[in-house]
Amino acid sequence: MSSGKLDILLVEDNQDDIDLALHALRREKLANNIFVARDGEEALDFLFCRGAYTERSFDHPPKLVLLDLKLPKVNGMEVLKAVKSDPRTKTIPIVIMTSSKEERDLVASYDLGANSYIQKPVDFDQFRETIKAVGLYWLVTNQPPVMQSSKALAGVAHDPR
Amino acid sequence: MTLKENLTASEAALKELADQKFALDQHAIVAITDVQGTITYVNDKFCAISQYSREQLIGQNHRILNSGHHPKEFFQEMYRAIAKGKVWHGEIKNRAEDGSIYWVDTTVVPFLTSEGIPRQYLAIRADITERKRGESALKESLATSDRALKELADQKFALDQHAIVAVTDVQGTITYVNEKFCAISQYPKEELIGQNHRILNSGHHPEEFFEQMYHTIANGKVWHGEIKNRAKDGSIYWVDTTIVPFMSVEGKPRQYVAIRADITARKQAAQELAGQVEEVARQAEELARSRQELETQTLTLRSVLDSMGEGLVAADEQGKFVIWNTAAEKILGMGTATLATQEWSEHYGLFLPDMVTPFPTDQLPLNLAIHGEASTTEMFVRNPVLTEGAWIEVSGSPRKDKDGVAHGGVVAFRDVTRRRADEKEIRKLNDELEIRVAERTAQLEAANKELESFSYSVSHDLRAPLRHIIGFSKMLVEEFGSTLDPAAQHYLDRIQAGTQKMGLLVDELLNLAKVGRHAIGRQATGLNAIVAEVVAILESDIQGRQVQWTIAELPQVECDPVLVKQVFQNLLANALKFTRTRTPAVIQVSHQENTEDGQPVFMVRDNGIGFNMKYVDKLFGVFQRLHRPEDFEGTGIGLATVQRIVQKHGGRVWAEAEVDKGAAFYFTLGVGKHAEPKSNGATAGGQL
Repeated sequence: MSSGKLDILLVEDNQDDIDLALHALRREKLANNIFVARDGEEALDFLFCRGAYTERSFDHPPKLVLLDLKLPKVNGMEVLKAVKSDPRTKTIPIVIMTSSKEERDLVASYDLGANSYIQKPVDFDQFRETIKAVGLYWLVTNQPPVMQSSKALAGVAHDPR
Repeated sequence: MTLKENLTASEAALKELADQKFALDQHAIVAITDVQGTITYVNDKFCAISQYSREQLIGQNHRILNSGHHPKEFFQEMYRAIAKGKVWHGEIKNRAEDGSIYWVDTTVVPFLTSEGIPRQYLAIRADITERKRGESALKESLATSDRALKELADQKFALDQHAIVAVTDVQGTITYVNEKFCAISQYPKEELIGQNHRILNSGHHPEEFFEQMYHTIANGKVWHGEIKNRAKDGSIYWVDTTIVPFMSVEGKPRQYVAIRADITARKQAAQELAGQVEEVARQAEELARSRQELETQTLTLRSVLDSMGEGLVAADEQGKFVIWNTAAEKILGMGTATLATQEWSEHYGLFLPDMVTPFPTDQLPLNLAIHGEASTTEMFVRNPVLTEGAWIEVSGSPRKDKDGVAHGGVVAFRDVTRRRADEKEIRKLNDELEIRVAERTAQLEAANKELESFSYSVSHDLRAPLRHIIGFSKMLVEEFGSTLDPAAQHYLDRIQAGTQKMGLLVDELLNLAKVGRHAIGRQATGLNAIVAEVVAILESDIQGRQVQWTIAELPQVECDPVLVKQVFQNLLANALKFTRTRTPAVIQVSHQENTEDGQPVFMVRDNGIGFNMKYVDKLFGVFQRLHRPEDFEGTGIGLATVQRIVQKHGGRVWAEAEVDKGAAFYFTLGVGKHAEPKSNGATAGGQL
C-alpha cells in the first residue's frame, strides 16, 4: 500500500468513523487503494514522503485526501495549511470531513485552500450518499493536474512535437 | 471940675459901663482869655451854650471848644490878627460838652498894655446856629433844584431820543409831537399839530378800548397799553403807550403826555414766537413723554438686570463700568469700582484655569470686547470675599451702536462651580462605569468563549457517537436483519428512532447556541423573498395536504436575513404542523405599520389547533411543549430560538391563540429603534 498508485488518503483518528467510512467506500467500490493515517503527523509524513514513508514519491500523490479536523498531535487545520502552502503538495485535493459545522472552521478551511467542506450527516443513509458523491466526483469525474515533478517536467521537455 | 464932681462923673461912667456889661452879658456870650488862650472869664451864656460849668472852663485853653470843622490856617490867621492888636471877626463852629455842634458869630477884641502889646482877649459871641442851619438847608435845596432841572432836561433829551412823545389837550387835539412821532407816523409835524389824535386810528381796537383809556386818564390816572396805529401811507405799526395826565390846580386834567415805544417788530416777532412757542411746547411735551418712556424702560431694564441669574457687566471705551447688576456682585463677591483696566484681574481676583496664574488683563473678555472682539472663556475667581473661590464661565461681546462702531463692551457670566463639580463627578462615574463595562464585557466575552467551546465540543463530540450508533445499527439491520427475530428488529427500530431524535435535538440546541453568539448583521432585507424561500422548502414536506398560503406585501427592513429566515422557518413550520388536521390549512403572513412603539409588527396566523392561553408563558421556554409528542412531534426549541433572534434584534414576540381556533404569532424587529443607519436608507423614515 505504501507504493504504487493511491486513490484516497483518509485521515481519521476514530476507529468507528474509519469503519463507517470504509464501509461506505467499499459499498461503492472506491476503497481499493486507500490509506488511513491515524493522526495529523502521520498524514504529513505520508504526504511529504518522510519518516516511515521516505520510500514514497511525490510523483504518486493520492487522488483525494479526506481530512478530519479534530486530530491528535497535529490537527487537521495544520495539515491542510502545510499541504496547501507547499508547491509539491498544494495541488492535492483535500476535502474536509468533520462532525462540526462551525462557521469559523468552514471559513478557515476555505481560506487555507480546502477544496471542499462536508459535515458528516448524522443519518447513515445520507452519510453513505455523501461519501459516494465525493468519491465518485474526485476519483472519477475530476481531472487532476499533471504533477510538476522532475520526471514529468523531463517528459514534457522531450516531447517530440 | 472938683474931685467930687470928678468922682461923680467917674461913678456915672462906671455905672454906665456896668449897665453895658450887664446888657452885654444878657445878650452876648462873653469870654476872656489871656494871650496863651487860657480862659480867665466866661459869662453865664457862655456856660449855657457850651454846656460846661464855669469851674470846668476857667483855666482851660479855649481849644477845648474846637469842633475840628475849621482848618488850622483859620485859627492861625485869627491869632495873627489879634496878636497884632486888631479886632478879629468871624463865624466859628464849636463843640459843646455833649458833642453837639453850635455856631457862634465871634468878635475878638485884644486889650493892649501901655506898651501896645496884647494883654488879654475879650471875645463876644452871638449864637448863630439856627441861622447857619437855615443857610445850609437853603443851599442844599438850591443845589437840588438845579440838579433836578438839569436832570429833567437830560431826561427830556433822552426821552426824545428814545421814545415817541406827544402831548394832547383834554379834547385829544395834538399840541406837541417829537421827531420820532413824526418818523413813525410818517406825518410832518405841521400835519399833526392841531389834529385830533384819532387821525392815527387803525380801526383795530374796539370802541370800548379807547373809551376805557379816556376814562382812565380823564380821572387823572396813568394808562398803559399797546395800540395798533395806522401811518400816513396806510401801513400798520404797534406802539407800547403810556399816557400821563397833567393836572390843573383844580385837580382836573389839563393835558395828556403820551410816551410810546415802537413794538411793531416785537409784535411781529411775538406772532412768530407764538407759533414757535407752540412748536416748542409740542416738542417739550414729546420730549417729556419720551423721557418718561425712557425712564420706564430704564426701570424695566434695571429690574431685568437685577433679576437676572447671570452676572452682567458693561464698560465704556475707557473701561469705566456702566452696568454692574446684582448677580454680578453676588457671583464675583464684589461690586463696581473705579479701576484702570490693568487692575481688574488683581482687584477681583481673576485667575486662569490653573487657579494660580492671574488672568492676563488684556485677555479678559471685557477687555477684548472693548476692543471689538467677542470671546468666551472659563476662569477661576478667588478674592477676600470669595475665599473658597468660584468658577465662572464668561462671554464678552462688543457694545456696538447702530452704525456698528464699538463703544465699550459687555460681559455675561455665571457661576459654573457646581456644574464643574458635577461634570467632574460625572466624568468620574463615567470612568468607573467604563471600567465596569469593560470588566463585564471581559466577563461576558469569557463566558461567551466558554459557551462557544462548549457548543463546539457538543457539536463535535456528541454528534460523533450518535452517528456511530446510527451507522452501526443501520449496518446491523442491513447485514443481519433477516436473521434477527422480529422483537430484536423492533428494538433496533426503537434505537434508531431514539438516535434520530437525539440528532435533531443536538442540531437544534447547537443552532440556538449559535444564535446566541451570532453578531447581528443588519442589512436591508426584503421579507417577501425570505418568506418565499421558506415556503418553498416547507412545501416539499406537505405533499397531499391542502394548504392555503396568504402572504401579504411585506416591507423591506433592516435585519439579519439569516436569523430572520430562521424565525419564519420556525413559525411557518409550526403553523404547518399544527394545521395538519385542517383541510384546507390556512396560513397567513402579514404586517402592520404605525403601531404604538412605531415599529412594524409581523404576524403569522394559522387556523390550526391553537392552544390554551393560560400556558402562553411557557410557549417560548426551551424544551417547553404544549402538546404530546404522539400528537405533534417537536423538540421544544423552535420558539425559544425565535424569541432569541427577535430579542437580539431589539424586538419582541408574543402570541394569541384559542384552543381549536388557531394561533397567531406576532413579532417586531427593532426597526426604527436600534436600526443602524445604512446608506441605502431603505428604512430611513422609521429610524430615530
